[in-house]
Amino acid sequence: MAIATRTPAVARLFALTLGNGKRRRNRKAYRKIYGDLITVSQSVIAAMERGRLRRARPTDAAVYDELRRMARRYMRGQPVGHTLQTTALIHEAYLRLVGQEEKHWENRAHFFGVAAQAMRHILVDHARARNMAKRGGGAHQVSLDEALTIGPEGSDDLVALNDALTALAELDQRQSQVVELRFFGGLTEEEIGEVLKVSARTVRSDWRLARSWLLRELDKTVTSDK
Amino acid sequence: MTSDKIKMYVTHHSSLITHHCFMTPERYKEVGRLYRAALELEPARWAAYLAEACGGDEALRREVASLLDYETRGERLIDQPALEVAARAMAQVMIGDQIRMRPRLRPCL
Repeated sequence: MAIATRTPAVARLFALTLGNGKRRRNRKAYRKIYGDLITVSQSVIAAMERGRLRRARPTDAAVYDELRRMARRYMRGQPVGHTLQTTALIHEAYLRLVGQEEKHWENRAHFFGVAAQAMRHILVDHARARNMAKRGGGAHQVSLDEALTIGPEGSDDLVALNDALTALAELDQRQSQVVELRFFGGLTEEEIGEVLKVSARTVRSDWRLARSWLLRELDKTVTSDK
Repeated sequence: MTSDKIKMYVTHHSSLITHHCFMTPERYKEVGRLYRAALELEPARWAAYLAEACGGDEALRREVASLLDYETRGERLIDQPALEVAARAMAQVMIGDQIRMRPRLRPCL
């Protein structure tokens, strides 16, 4: 399966930030905090230090591991006060990378842009794969799957949202970037403003308009499906 | 064409166009301008503001009004991080797998 064979890029990002000398102490702390999210691979670090960092994307086993972990919490019916933690985790990885390996990136904006885009691709690819597994799973399972749908959210929405976001980019590039950075990249309005070189206020109104536009598109998709 | 004529032309034709099938970046910019201006006001004043600001362009007014409608709805999918939305979807699939496995286990019991 495509997902399983992906190279662990988030792990690589972590590995990179934790790679050398004085960071050994941090490495220990990180292992403790993020557990299996950190997979240090010397060969990967070496490859990245040879200047291939730009191809690094937070794709990967680590994202899927995190997804699975969160999914299990949902299954156990635990309230997910997880939002902050998740965002913080993505952030931390990004920020450390930006802070310590700046030379590999044109600038912060470039980095955040690429990282959010990568997260978008991973999650949407994954949602598509789930949808395909669900639909390709044989006729006898269809009714059961339908019966199992809990609430309106899920893989379909993520894929539909992705499509709508692509359509939005045709109308307003910056608004689609705001959504990508916030929804997929987990950035705050201030950070997005910094990346796109506009005020946080502009980011906020871009976000509100884009959000309404996207939600209306999603409603239309649902209506036309029925 | 004078601006009045353009306005008449747009007004006439916009009634034939179902909203935003023909959305262009320029049109979207105009929608955005009105949308942002409306956000500065109390929701109660949106309708009156749009009626005036759209100057008879009914399609434009409807377009902005239908978008503003989404401002007043509650918790939305997109307000949570994408990672969480994905995790919840995955949880549904995992629960599905568990239930599917049950009939297979039954003969063993």
